[in-house]
Amino acid sequence: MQQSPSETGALSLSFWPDARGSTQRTLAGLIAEEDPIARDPEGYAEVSIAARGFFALDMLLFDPGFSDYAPGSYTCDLVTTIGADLAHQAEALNAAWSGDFATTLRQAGAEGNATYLHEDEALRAIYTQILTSLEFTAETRLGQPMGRVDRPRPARAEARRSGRPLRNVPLASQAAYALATALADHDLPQTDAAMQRVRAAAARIADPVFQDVTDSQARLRVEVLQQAVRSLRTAIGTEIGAPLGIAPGFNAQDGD
Amino acid sequence: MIARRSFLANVLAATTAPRIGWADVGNPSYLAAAREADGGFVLCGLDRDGTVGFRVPLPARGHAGAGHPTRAEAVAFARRPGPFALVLDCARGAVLHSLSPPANRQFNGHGVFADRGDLLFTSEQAGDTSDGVIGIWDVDAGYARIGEFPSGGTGPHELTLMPDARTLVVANGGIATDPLDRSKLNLRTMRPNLSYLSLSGEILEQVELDRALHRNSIRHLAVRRDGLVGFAMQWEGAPGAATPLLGLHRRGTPVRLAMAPLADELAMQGYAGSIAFGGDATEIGITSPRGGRLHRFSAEGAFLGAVSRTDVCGLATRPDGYLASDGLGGLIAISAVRTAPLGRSDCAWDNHIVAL
Repeated sequence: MQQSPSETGALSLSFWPDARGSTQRTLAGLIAEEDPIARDPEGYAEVSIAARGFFALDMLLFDPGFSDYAPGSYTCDLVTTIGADLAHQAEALNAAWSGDFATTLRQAGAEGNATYLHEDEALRAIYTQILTSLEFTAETRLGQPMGRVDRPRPARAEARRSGRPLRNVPLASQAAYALATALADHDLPQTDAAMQRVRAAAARIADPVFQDVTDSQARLRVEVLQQAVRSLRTAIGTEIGAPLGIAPGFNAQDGD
Repeated sequence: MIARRSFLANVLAATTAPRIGWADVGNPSYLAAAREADGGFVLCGLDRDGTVGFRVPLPARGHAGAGHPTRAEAVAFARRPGPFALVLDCARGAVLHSLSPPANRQFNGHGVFADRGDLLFTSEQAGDTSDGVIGIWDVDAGYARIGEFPSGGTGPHELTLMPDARTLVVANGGIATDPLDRSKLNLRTMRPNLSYLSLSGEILEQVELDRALHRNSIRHLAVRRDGLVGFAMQWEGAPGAATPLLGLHRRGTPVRLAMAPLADELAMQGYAGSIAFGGDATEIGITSPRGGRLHRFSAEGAFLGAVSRTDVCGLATRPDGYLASDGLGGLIAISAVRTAPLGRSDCAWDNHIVAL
């Protein structure tokens, strides 16, 4: 989810992709200076989002350049603080979604609601989120390590240090699928079948961290998975978007 | 005899049909183009509270407009690459003139009146090279093309008049495009700039950003009464770079770039579509339809906050803040203290709201 309370909140939980290596650089800077912020779980919210959330933990817990630290060391305290900050963020997001934003979403079209001026706009927002999420999975989660055919980029796989690149794909697809199922008040046979194909394609991949995408056969299996995620997105568009008459953004698509 | 009769008829028309002024069409505050529910395109007049006054049909999708300073005439520009601009009589809904760019020129979506409304300046580019050109049109001669001069860069987009009424400021976006579509041809070498030009085309001052930001296309402008210029940018480099999308410039001084905190900046998706000063012009806003958000900054460049709204793009000054429009038909009033919907029409508001 990257809208409303999570519009910016998702980024401080999950700062990725990070093409410029900001997470590594920021964490290394904190550690080199032994910045006292590492021992301040409340104040840690002021630190750059690149050094917060899951990907900071992925780096500190699993990257050999960081993970060799002793109990009670500066890095150990930093890990504990990032964990506490993550818990605070989760609590705040949960409160925002179930509090004010739940009202905004349920009262779409009510007088004074400046976020959703009509009931349809709330449906549209959730629908768009589903498609955006699947696009991210296909084009970024999978697209980043695939790179170009002549230049695969396995080091760019999401959360590769913690061994999650493959695992995240069916999980994220399943989450989008579940939201689509909840949004629609009718059967979604094409979408159901497309979700099955995502699971099947994921099951055929040997390397859970996509480090073998340099091999053409292995790459082909990742491409099949990418295509399956794209097909899931298309099926949701056909079975939910088209009946609702939702078209892409008039201005967002124009680009000028 | 025929010539004489038509001469007399013209004299008669000129003396008996006074020019229609903006008061005659209800003193609209803004112009905005839209796509209507039936798929047709229009240019609308809006009052301060977003109520639609006049509504003039357009033959194709519009981009921005320019309002004559006194007469109820507006020029509606086609979106890039623009084959037409229409001079509209906003009282009668009639097309007064259809402007076509000369050979090897295309309209780039924006224009501005100057010299108390005697001249219209249009943002254009050469079809083959994308070299920027400012077209000059004589209003009283029925919008006759009377000349042009270089814009000082490649692919100019918005241009506007400085408060001294003698200087144009031009956003030279830097992007060379295919003459038949919008394919971008020079992203590796593009060099946008902000150019100040006299009304006769003399380049008075030019500003470029640092080399590292050469892919930040300068495209839209807002000018404050004291000459402070705000410019909005669109990043053509790698996604996720979180580059600044707002610049502030005052002639003779360095540019000040303004950024939101990283998460907010990333949420704009490297794209600002419109810019306007807010309220008493102590603040300035930029919109991103891709990110579905508006960012507010102080006129010194400090981030003040964000407002989320799907497909928001059009932005203009209101007395206590901004008027924002979006592709879902919404018109929203935004101020420092509240965000209030003014209305929702069954249309998609196009990229810009032009203040009259």
